[in-house]
Amino acid sequence: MDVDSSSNGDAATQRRLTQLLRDPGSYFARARREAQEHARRMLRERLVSAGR
Amino acid sequence: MAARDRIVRLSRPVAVTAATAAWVVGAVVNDLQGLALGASLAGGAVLTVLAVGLPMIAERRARDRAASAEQVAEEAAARMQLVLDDALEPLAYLIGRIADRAGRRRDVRELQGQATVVVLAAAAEVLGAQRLRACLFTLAGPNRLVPTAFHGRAEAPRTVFTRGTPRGDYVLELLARREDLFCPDVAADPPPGWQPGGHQYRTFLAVPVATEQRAFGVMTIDGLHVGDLTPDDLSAARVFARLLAVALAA
Repeated sequence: MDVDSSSNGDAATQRRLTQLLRDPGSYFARARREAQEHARRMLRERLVSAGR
Repeated sequence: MAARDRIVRLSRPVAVTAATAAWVVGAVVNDLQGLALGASLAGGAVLTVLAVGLPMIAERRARDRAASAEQVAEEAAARMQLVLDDALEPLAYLIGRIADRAGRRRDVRELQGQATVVVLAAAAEVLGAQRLRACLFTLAGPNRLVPTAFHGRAEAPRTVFTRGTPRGDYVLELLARREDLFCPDVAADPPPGWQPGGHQYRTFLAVPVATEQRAFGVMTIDGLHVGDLTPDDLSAARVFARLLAVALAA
């Protein structure tokens, strides 16, 4: 499993909170895009490993 | 997977050829001529189309269904990540900061304001469809709920809920009982005291912002179209509203 320490921890959460408070619309638009891409990638990987 | 796709692709022309060969060979072997030959050719062609076409249609439908299921699964996973990672985690972190500063009123008030911004933004941006609006109505004394903050479509809420009016009594009772309300279509089934007219939304939900002991107000989320909000959104809204209540109770 990949470990990405740059995307967790209090410093990272604080950074995200600052972005969220500064411009909630842009923050969630970017988050939505990234969540969609992540979900698509994960689903594809699971389908491939399931032999589909 | 690629090898299997290739086999499936090759099997189609093979099936068409085999099915066609069957009735052509039959016609030749039986030495058919004239009308009998014509009828045999036409019948064979129709049967070939049915024999090959029907499984292909079924296969296409199955593929479409699988694609839809994949899309639904993808959207659900994305929504889950959005709610947990991008909304609840920063909010939980913020509530932790409020707890850490329990003795410092000024800091706490500022952080409570931030928690309100985060909850309303998350409610409007993460739940339901696009172009939602989340509003916070705060208790101003025991008998009035006044709009104090909102996020989403650029239209500030103006409604004040006052005890003694049908809708004021209804909403204040909801808050007192810590109950929520989901109205899928205000045109078809409006809540008590609903006044049609100037409202720019068709569906909404309302959840109490309260702990067991203290009531702070009501959060509403509204959408322009029927179907913009679902019962699943109600559950998530309740969680956001409860966390806001925890932040405000500090």
